[in-house]
Amino acid sequence: MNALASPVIAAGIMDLNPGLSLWTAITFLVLIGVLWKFAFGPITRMLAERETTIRDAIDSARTEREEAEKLLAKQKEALAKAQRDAAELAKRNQQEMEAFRVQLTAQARKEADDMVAAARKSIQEERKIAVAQLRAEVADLAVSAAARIVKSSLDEKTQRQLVDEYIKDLPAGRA
Amino acid sequence: MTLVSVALVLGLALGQHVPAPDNHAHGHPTADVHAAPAPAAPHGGGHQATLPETMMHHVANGSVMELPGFCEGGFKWNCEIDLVKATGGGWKFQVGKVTIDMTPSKHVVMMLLSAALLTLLLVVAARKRSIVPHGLYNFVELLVDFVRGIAISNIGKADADRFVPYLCTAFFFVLTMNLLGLVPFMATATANISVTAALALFTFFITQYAALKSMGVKGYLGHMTGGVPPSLAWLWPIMIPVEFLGLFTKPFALTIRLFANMVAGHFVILALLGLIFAVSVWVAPVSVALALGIFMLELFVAFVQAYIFTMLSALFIGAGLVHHGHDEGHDDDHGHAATGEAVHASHAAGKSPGHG
Repeated sequence: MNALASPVIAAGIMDLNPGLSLWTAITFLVLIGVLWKFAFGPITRMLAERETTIRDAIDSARTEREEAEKLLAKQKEALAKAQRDAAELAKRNQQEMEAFRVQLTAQARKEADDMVAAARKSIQEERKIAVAQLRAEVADLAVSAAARIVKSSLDEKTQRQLVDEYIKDLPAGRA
Repeated sequence: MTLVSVALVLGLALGQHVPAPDNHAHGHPTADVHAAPAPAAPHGGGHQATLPETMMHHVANGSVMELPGFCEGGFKWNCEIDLVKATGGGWKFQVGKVTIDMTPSKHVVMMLLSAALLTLLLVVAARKRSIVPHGLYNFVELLVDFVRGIAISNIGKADADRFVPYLCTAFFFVLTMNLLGLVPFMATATANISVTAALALFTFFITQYAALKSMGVKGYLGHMTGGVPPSLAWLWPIMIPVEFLGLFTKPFALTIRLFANMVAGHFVILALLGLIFAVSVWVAPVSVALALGIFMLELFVAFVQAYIFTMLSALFIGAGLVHHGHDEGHDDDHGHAATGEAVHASHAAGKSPGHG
């Protein structure tokens, strides 16, 4: 052991040198102070700050996403409702239109029927009037024919023949 | 630890191949370590250093820095800068009977250089911080967040952020010193037990402070019985010394682990390269290839050791804070702390193959 350790001891690398230790202590102490103030303190704070920043960012992103999802769901619901409403409205509109059309058609038909009936009635009346007028005319014509026959002073035989012919020529159906 | 033993065995094997320095006067064990020159560039004095001496010289602290530059009338790879001469020397003061020599040495210079580089890098990076990180700040923040993750998993979410700046400083400081030690012409300050001991002391004090603050003086002293209830008070004479020793084994483990790992890697590289001089120049390709491989491993180890130092610091602090409000947890706490350490030790071993 002695032989093994002797070169080590000889070179004094196992000696404790108080001066060197004191130098180390002073250097280390100053280094701790300086680096604490100017490097590690600020860097540690920065690390903590970044941690907080990232956590906050993640939290707020999550909240925002949740909100956005909620909003999206609401929007989707609103859209669906609007579509449903629109469809319903269109359907109802169509029904109303149909009803209106039916009503309008019925009315038009009724009016047309009324008009036809009125026309028929007036034609009937016109016809009555015309028949009455005709009848009066025919009587006049008969009288005038009689007068003419009388004027021409025909014999009796001829006169009769004429009257008969005349009457025969008169339209049937007369009352 | 396997690398340490490999290094020592290799060193010993080489020592037998090379003549021992019988004609060289060693006044004091540490007196003239820096007098031993690199094997490739023999010193003018005609003294050939042995390989173990050279390896020690490379790893140990000293007052002379050897940098490439122009000196003694020409370009040299190992221009010597004597720090004692440069600073005037004699930065000493007396505490009781102990003389403390504060004259800057090689490792002090490396340490200050690391601190300066680190401050520059981190302060510049931290000025560019933003919610959306990019560039240098992004990289620094990645490491800070990594350390924060260690703190949170070992200390708990509620208390972690108070200790993150300390743990980050420890991580970055150890990492920078480890990495600077891998740059040619530089030295590894963390391969010095005085440096690692001072670093571990900080963790020790912070652990004790945190434990005292969270448990109160009474709870802290109560913990010293190892959770043995008063009904078994006759066990206390055993428990209290064990617990008391336990306070110091933790920083001691931190000290030795970092120191030994950093020394070991350098020893292995030096020993592999030393084979070229000890055996034959024909082993150079193999030696260099292996040394390069170990160097890559050392880059990884620089990160792993910084990670382990930080992780164990956080673990010790967290163990001191443990009080979940359940009383039966006193005993539990202890089991937890002990198994926790065991788990993490094996975890650490798993993380650093050959370095556990």
